[in-house]
Amino acid sequence: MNALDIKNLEIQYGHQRAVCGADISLKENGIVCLLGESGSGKSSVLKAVMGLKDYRGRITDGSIEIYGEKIVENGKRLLFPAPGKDLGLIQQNPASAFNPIRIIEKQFKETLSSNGIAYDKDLIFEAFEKVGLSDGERILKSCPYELSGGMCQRTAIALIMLLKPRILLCDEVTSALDKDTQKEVITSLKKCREEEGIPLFLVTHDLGFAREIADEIYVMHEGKIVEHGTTDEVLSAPKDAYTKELISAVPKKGVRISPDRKKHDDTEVFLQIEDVSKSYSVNGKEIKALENISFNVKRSEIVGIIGKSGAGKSTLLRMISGIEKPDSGKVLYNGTDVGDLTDNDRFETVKTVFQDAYASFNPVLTVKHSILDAMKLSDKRKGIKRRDRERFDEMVSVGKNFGLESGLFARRPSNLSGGQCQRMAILRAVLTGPSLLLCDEITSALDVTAGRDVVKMISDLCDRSGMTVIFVTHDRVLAENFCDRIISCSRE
Amino acid sequence: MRKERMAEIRFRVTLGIVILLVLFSILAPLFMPHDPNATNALFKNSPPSPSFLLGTDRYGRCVLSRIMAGAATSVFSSVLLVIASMLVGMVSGMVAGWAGGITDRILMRICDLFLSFPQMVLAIAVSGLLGGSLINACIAMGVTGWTVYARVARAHTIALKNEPFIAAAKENGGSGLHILLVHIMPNVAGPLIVTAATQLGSTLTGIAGLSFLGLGAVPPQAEWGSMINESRAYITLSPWAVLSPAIAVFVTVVIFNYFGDAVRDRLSDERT
Repeated sequence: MNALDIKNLEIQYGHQRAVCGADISLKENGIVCLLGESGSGKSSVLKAVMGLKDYRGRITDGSIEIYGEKIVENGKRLLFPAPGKDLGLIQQNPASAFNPIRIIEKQFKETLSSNGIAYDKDLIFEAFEKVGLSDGERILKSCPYELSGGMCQRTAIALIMLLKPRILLCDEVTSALDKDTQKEVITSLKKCREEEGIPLFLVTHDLGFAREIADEIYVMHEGKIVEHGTTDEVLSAPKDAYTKELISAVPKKGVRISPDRKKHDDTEVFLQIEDVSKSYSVNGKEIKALENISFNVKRSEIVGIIGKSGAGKSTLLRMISGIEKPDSGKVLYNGTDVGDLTDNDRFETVKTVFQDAYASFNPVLTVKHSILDAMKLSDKRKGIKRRDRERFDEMVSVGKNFGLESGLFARRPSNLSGGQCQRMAILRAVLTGPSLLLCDEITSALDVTAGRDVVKMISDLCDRSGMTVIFVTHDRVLAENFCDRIISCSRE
Repeated sequence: MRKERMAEIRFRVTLGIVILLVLFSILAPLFMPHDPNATNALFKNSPPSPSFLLGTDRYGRCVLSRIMAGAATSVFSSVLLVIASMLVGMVSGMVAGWAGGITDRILMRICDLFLSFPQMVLAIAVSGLLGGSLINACIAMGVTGWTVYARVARAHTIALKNEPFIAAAKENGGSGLHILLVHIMPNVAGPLIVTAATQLGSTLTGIAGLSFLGLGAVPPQAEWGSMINESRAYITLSPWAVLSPAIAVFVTVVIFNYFGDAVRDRLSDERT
């Protein structure tokens, strides 16, 4: 008997079919990955299995069985699996597993008690040890925002191990984490299977993650399963054309993304970071985020900054953009300290593209209005007078170079795919003509094909406009294949 | 999807009814069968009849005409009061949430001061001080009415101001005022509209209650609360004179409450 059997599943949103004829099986004690790009329907399958009450999709055909017990038959739901007991769920955003304003201990107590499990600190610390978390007492007394993303994710896994659900569902659990933290989470998930006997059903766009953990892989494209087999069969000898394309999009060591990119050895120095240091006070303790950082960036260069979570990369970007001042040292643009620049000069010189493209847009406005707002403010600073219609025409025209059709601009951010939203964010930044573009983990939430398209677009943009780019990422291979130069940050 | 479709239908139907109600309250005086203030000694406390569809009160005034005239007073004043309270509360809440620090503390302590009094008790006291009239009753209700909107607006502003899209707006050079108007207000407006829609019913009841106590609309002005007050002593003789305005209040409050629920469901669907 399999832990999970999905047969001929069909899911619709309104009249649009998101999943068609999906057949997936998860063996007892197995690990299955459902692999595919954004919008392929994989999260829809997971949510249909989970049976959450506010699920907006409609199951129109097919069946779902959990350990032989039918929960969906011929498109009709017969049972809602008990969250926690039958099915455990861990989602992409590590912090979303917990109430942000309550300490972990209270949330553990509530969850265990509502599942009829006694609160036992020794068992909890044992679970923390299994997932590689030391200092359990501190974790229990902390709020989720006081823990790193990886710690939050592993705390959620520890809680799941205590609940011992019959199946654990995971939706992109490592995409927001750096490579080292990903390894720790992968180890923790494997322990769920090895030590607790919990089979895993994982949804991901990350082939590396699937390769590390899965026994079997199902590849999903446009709502259909296009390939299935063991991890070796699918990733080493794919049969389907789409699977081959997906594998070829993964950055490979030594393969440049833009091999024709011009060299910029002879351009002048544009940005100087001189002995920059920054500390923060957390619960009375001083934490050094940056210590005596120095480097130069030439005009039109693409410089990569890599490092683990907590290494200070985002802090460095905030110093460079002028949002925060360093405790010591200088950030100089063409010899002028960023603190001495007028606000207008600063707004015109540097723009940031954020990791979470959706969150970087106002959720209630269309992207057109958000981008027009940025353009109007820029025009006002430059003394340019033109109508919104002219601005919109420029937006559409430049947007075509980014692969963005005009119809997309009338949508709200939530109605765009991750890749489209990130490209809109880059478009908004470049339409104001900045000299420096700061990219903060902009591909971490995207699948391989969308991420590759975004970095290729930035490379072409740099060659055309002479813009300088600082590209923060935890993906070393991507940084090596995309950037002209790499700077590595670490806490040691 | 069926749930969304039902939410959309409910929203449109209740919005349509509210619009009809507001139009009725504006246009009703044009269609009244009789002068609402005209007394008629021959028809005092008359039961419903073809001439007086809802009967007459103790002065022989047509109850239906007074209900229609009262609609303009009750419904319109409630809607205007709610809109005014929402605007005052929204501005003060957004400013408090955005500015933080001493500004936030001062504004919220003022809010706490007004919230520490039971609304109706304070409204009665203010009405008593200002004297009985519809405008004074609205002022009395408005004195505490703005606080709930201020709290909601402040909470949402504080949550929003650390969002990445606000950081992006700051980086684009938006001033504080620009960000509040263009980015924060559209996000805050939704929850405030929901709050306002659900407050319509209680506001109307509050104004009617003040009028019932003689602290609102002054007779002979037609207002549903004062109509109940005027006719309650004659409830055994002419129950229609009490029941008709009471039912009018009840139906209107139910419509407003359903509308508030429909707005809440519609806006929560839009955001998910």
